[in-house]
Amino acid sequence: MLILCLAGSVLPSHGEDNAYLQDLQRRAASAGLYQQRYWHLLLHYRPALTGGYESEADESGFFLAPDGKTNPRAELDATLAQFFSTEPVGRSRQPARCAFIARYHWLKAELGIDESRLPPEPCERFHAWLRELNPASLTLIFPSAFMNNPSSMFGHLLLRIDQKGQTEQTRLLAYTINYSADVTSDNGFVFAVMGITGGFRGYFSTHPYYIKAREYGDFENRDLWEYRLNFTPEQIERLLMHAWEMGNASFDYFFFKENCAYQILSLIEIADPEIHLTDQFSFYTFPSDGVRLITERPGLVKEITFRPARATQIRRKREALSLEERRWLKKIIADPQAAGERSFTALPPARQALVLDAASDYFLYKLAGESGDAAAYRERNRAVLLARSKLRVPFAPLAIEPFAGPPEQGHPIMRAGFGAGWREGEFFNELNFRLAYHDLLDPENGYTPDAQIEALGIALRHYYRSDRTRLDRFTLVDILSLSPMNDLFQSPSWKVNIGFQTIRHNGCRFCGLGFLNPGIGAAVETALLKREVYFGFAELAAEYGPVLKSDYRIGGGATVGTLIDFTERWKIGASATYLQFPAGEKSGEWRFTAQQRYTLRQNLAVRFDFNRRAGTQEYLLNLLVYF
Amino acid sequence: MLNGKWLRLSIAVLPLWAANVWAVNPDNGPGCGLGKLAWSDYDHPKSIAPQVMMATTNGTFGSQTFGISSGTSGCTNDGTIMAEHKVEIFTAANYESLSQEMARGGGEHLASLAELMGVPEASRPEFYALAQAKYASLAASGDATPAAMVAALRSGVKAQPVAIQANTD
Repeated sequence: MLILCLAGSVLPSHGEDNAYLQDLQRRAASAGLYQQRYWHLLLHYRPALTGGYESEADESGFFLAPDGKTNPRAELDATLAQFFSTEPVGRSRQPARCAFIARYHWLKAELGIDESRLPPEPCERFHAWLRELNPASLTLIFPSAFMNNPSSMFGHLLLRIDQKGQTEQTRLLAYTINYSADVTSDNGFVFAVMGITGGFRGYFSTHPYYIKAREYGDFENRDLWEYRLNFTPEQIERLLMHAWEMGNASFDYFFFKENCAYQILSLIEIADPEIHLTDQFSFYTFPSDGVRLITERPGLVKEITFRPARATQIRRKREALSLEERRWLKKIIADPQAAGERSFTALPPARQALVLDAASDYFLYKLAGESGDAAAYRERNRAVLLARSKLRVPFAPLAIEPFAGPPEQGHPIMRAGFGAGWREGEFFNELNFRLAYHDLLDPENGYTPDAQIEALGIALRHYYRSDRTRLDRFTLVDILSLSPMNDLFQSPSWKVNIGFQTIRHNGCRFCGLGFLNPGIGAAVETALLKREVYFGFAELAAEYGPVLKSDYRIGGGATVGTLIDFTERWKIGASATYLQFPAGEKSGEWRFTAQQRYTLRQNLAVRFDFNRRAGTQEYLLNLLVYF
Repeated sequence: MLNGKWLRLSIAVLPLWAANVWAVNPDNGPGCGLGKLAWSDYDHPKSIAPQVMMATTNGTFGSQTFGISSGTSGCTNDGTIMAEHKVEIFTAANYESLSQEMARGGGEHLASLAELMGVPEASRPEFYALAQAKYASLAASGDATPAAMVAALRSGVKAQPVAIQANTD
């Protein structure tokens, strides 16, 4: 038997075992287990384009049959056979019963496998792991969007395994289940291409939550939303058994579809196969869509908790300060010795504590960030904390409110518009569609404020007088990130817009033009009405189109603009741009836009646009539907 | 309408958009490996790169260490931290927040550390007060290491009445 096992045989050595295996395989076949949803979930099978099935797992050690990736039936037979062997399999090097413990438990229940007829296998490693995780419940975590990295622009999803006896204060100690790409290239272009085409490998891991909370909350300043899920202990154990199996698996990581959100949702389906999540996505999986699906499921979410990023804490604490206290904050940040001045120590101790806490948060924010002298910040933080430790006021953390609602309150990601307008004395109808994601005039609840990402948008127009239908504009990508500055925060704003549009130029009334328009600038905000943001950009512009003399022009200029929230539902935006093109066709151009939006429902808005460009004016009214 | 030249132009500029992603530096140093998890590389970030790297990899940083059913590596066992390293790793990973919460006399990091040190629930208020009182001498010692922080808290706990001590060794 030993020799057979070493030879890697999957056939039981005794005739008796062999007979039992054949019995199990026969019963599995007649019950059609290999066709069942749960088997497909365990093996990550999806209907293949060519018919049949194919697993999304991309590591041969995850399969026990040579053709297991594409043959659910052979894989099931081979799995049953391997249960009769103690030979270590898979990347985790364990006997099949332990390496694929979720498969074993399911098959055992379905077939009533008599464990005494298999080689004894305690699966000590798995049970030690489960004891260490000490699971009581599961929480889905959504780190909100992070604008300065393409792979995080749409947020992220991970699971937290809450422990028995855990409190709000000690949730940091819980482990998480995280799926991430093993990025093997440091080249931005290669990164983008490989990320989109599945060139990286994705793996599951169990970082403690304190590492993830620090990574997202401190280093990236992303607010976290936590959704406590309502699962039974059996469902949780099933999910964890499958997570254990994932130690043998890896997947090609596709940023848009088979990404973190997709794989985390696939685990949730294991806990409750009745919930269909991953098959709701065909081209891409946005983390916020995942949250929306989870929260739409009645009774699945028990509780929602907001966990503010460091920058959010500082902004809220600053808001809670009086003007005088804000002056102290600024002064103490510049020189912590100011905290010893008599006029500061004359403030009520609780107010001193709030100022010092904000100052220390600010130093930690700077230490986690990119700029400045770390040693100086550390030294100043120490001085502030020393003053703080002398204030023996009862510890009473400020409740930090989010600046944006939870992601499930946001509008759905795809958008279609039905519009009508007027351009140079001619009436037209417009149809537009945008694959993703959010622009600054879309209803902002649930989205990171002041962050716009539009990708793959298209607008078609039919002009009635000339009776022509034409492509009016196409957006490849249009990103705009505004970072309002104040005495504490001075991050630049930036934008990049790549697309195609129709202009009137050089006597041509409808001429196509491809363009690239990046810029860098600054923004400030006020709260006179509800909220107002003012911004300015210095920018470059490169345009290409046969309508231009010598086919192109390159230049630069500036934009100033404003965004004003009058009410929760009503917002306006306006901007003026001047561009001068010294290369290619030498020319200069003024552009003005004014837009306003009124939100009707979470998935419905009306928008009115006015555009004036190089003397051409147009008015456009759109009904926008999000879906 | 999307003629060839135009398409080439836009593809050629895509790297600009993606260019703020670089740097791969998962530092799986020697020894326990997680000592490196003291974020030593991130305490002196010279550019935004380390942050971006961490986001980019969505935490590949340490994914070997924390890989599920990945066996024993340094101070983890199948991706979970060995009991004898828990206090050290937690303190190293959260040193700045712990300093802050010691000075404030409370907070979730300090509560979590108390949990790891085995401070009984009923004695937590005394533990937080002790941490706040200890902050000044810790800061004055000039030894800004996680080890010194843990030692200061442990010795403080030892000097307290029996109730708070529990099994903090």
